[in-house]
Amino acid sequence: MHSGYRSTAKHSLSQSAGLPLRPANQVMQLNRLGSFHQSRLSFMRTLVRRMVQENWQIKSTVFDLDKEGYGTAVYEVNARYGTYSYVLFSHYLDPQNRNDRVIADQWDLTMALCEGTVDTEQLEFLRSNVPKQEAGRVDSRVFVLSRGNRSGRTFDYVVDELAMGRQPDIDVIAEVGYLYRTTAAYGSGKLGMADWEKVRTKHRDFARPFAAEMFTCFMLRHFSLQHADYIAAQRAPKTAVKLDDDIKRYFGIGNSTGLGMAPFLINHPLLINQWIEQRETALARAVAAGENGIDVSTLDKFATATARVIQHLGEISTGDSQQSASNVVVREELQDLAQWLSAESENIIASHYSWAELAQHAEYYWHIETQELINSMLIELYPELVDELEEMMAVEEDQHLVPQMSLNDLKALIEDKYDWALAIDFSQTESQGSFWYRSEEKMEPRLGQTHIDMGMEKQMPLAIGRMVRECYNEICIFMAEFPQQDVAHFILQRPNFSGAICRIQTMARSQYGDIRENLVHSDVLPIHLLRCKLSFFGVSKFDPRSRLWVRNTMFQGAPLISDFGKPFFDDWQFPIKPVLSSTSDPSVG
Amino acid sequence: MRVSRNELTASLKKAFEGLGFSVGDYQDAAAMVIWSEIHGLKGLQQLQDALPSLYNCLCLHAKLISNDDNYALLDGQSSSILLCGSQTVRLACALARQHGSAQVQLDNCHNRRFLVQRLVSAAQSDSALVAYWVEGNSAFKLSIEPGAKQPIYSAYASPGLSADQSLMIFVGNDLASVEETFSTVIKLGPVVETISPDAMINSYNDMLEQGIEIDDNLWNELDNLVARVLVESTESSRAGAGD
Repeated sequence: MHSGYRSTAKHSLSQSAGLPLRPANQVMQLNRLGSFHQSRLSFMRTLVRRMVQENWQIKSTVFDLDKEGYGTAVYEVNARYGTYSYVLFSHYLDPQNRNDRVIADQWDLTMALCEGTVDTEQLEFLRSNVPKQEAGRVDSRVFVLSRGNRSGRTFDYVVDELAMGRQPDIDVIAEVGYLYRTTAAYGSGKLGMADWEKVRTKHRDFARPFAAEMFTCFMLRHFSLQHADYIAAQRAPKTAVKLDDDIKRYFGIGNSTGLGMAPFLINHPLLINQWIEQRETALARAVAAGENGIDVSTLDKFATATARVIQHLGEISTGDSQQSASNVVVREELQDLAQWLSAESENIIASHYSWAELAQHAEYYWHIETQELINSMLIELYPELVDELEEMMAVEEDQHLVPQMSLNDLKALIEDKYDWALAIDFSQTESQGSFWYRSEEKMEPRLGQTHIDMGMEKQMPLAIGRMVRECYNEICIFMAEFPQQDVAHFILQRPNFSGAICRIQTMARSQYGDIRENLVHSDVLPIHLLRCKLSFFGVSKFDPRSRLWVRNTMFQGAPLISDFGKPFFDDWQFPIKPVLSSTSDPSVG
Repeated sequence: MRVSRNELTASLKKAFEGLGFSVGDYQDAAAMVIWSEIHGLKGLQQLQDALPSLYNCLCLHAKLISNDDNYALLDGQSSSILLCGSQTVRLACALARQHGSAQVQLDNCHNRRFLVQRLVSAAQSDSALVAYWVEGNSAFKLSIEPGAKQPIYSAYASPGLSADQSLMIFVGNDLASVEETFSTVIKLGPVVETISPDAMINSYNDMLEQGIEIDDNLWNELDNLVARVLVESTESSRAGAGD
C-alpha cells in the first residue's frame, strides 16, 4: 500500500504567481466541479471568521411574538464598519402549503437585511412587502430578502423535547441538521434592493461576494434556535429547558437549491474564474508548503482531519442512492488513507513524502470526490498561506471584444482554448437533447427535452460549447473568402456572433471560468453546477433530491453569536455529532 | 417606481431579446440604455421614444459601403444605434489600430445618443475617441480620453454638417490628435450646453444610493417584452425544474 502512494508524476504546470496550478482541462470538468467541497475560502467560513474576530454585536431590539411564535423580530447588528438591521416576520403556514420550490408563495418565515436602523415607518413598509417576497417591492436600503420553512422532521420534535425538560436526541438532529431551511436568498438589486455595487463600495462589512446573503442565513439559524427555546418556554414555562449550546452549534440552516443557481455559473464566467483560481492558488500553496516533506504537527492535524471527515460522511443521511454510494466509497478510501497515515507516519516524515505525491496518488486511484475532499483538507492546514486570498474573490464581470484581432488568430485561439468544445459532436441527437429555458412561473430556469418540451425556440444561451462550435464554423467559411480579415469586419458580416466572440476573447485571457461540458447533452447533470457554487458558499451534507435540485446544510457546526469575541479556532468545517459536555440550563429567559 | 441597476439590466436584456436581438446585441443594447440613464443622459426617456420603431426594426445591422485604408462608410439601414453602435465603434477602433487613426461614418441610423457607453467601453482599450452627429438645429459632440470613464458631452448650435441621420466617429491614440483631425473635418458652432464628467459621476452616485426612477408604463412595457422570452408553464415543464 505504501508504495502506491508515491508517484514520480508531476502536476501539470500552469504558471500563476510562480506556483503550479492545476490545468483547466482537469479542474473545469463538470463532474469535478460537482465534487468540490467547502474550504477556508468558502463564503460562510470567511464571514464567520470576520464576525467572530471582529466581535460583531448582535441584539434583538424587537421580539414581538405570540405564544405560538408568530410575529416580528428585529435584530440590530453592529459590525466593524456599520450598523445593520435584520428584520424577520414569522407567519402561520398550513403544512400543506409548505413548498421549497421557487414558485411557492407562502413561507413560515420571511426576512430582510437592511442598512442602518429601522424605524416604525420602514418596519411597516417591510411588513407590507417582505412576506410577499417576489410579489413585493423593497428599496435600496435593503440588501437581502430571504425566506425559510420549518423542518417537518425536527422543529416540533425539538420544541416538544425542550418543553418536557429534555434535550433532543442528537441522532434525530443528525438525520436532518436544522430546524428551518431557506429556499432563496435574493440580493444584488433584485426586487428593488441595493445593487451589489452599493454594498461593495459603501458597506465594507459585506463587500465580499454573497457575504450579505450568507449573513442572512446565519441570522436565520440564530433565530431558529431562539425560536425553539421561546416556543418551548411559552408552552411549558415550568418544565421547559433551553437547548444546550453544544447542540445549538450542531444545528445549521437547511437549504434547498434548484436550477435557478445553474445559469449564474454560465453567465458569470469571470467571477467563477476568480473563485476557482483563488481556490487553486490556495491548493497550490498548500502543496508547495509540503514540497520538501511534512512535519509531525502538520501530519497529525491532517490525520485528525481525515478521521473527522470519515465520521462526518458516516453521519450524512441521504436518500439518493448515487450520493449514498459515493459517500461509502469516499469513506472507504479515506479509511485507507487514515490507516496509512497511522501506520506509516514515521516513514512519511523521514522519507520527505510530499502532498503533491498524495494528490497524485488520489488522482490515480481514488474517487474524484475523495480527491477534492483531500484538497479541501490540505488547504485547511495552512491558514497563514491561504486566508489572505479571501479578499480576492470579487471581480467585475466585464467582457471585452478585441476588434483588431485577425480571424486567423481568433481561429487559432478557439482551437487552443476551446478544443473541448470543438471535440463535441453536435450532429449526435443526444448532444442537443436538452435545452434551458425560463418559465413564465417566476422566470424559473428549467431544463427541457428537445422536441418533447415546449419552448426550444426561447432557449437560454447556456450551451457555450455549441455557441463556440457555430462561431468557429462561420469563421472558417468566412475565411475561405477573406483569409486576411479581422474580427471587426467579420462581425459586420456576421453580427450575431459578436456575443460569442466577446466571450471567447475575454475568457481566453483567464485560466478557468468556462465549464468544459456540453450543457445541452441529454444526460447533463445540472446538480454538479449547483454543488460547485454551493461549495463556494460553504455548505455541507449534500442530499440530492433529483439531478435538478439538492438539499444541504449551512453553518452546521459554526460558532453561535454568544461565541463571538471569544478564542476561536475556525475548525467547524465537516461537522460531526457533538459529545455533550455540559448539562442543560433549566432556566428559560 | 424605483428599480436597481441590476434589476433594470436584467429586464432590458430580456426585453431586447424579446424584440429579437441576438446575445451580443441585447447585452450591448442594455448596457447602452443603462449607462445613459445612470449618468444623467435620460436613457429611459430615449428608450421610451425609441421603442415604437424597435418593434419593427427587423434587427438590421450596419452594412459596410466602403473602406479605404483608415476611412469607412457604413449604412445603418434605418436601424437603431442600439444594433449598429457596437459594430461601428469596433470597426473604427480596428482601423485605428491598423493605421494609427481612423474615421468612420455611419449614415441612416437612429437613436444616436445611446452611443456614449460604446465609446466609454472602447476608451478602456487605450483609444481616444470623438463622436459627432446632428439632430435638428443642434450638433452633438462626445470626446473621451484613453481609459477615461466619462466623456465630455457638448451640444452646439448651427451644425457644420447635416447628413441624414449620420454619425461620425474619429479614433486615435491620443485625444489631442483626434480633436485636431476632427477640427479639420467639422466646424462647430457656439456651445449650447456641456455635460461634464463630474455631473455624470454625481448622477451615478445618486442612482447607486437610491435606485433608478422608471415610469410605470415603461416598466410594464418592458415586462410585456420580457414575457416574449418566457415559456408557458405546464405540469410537464415543472418536471424540468425538479418536481
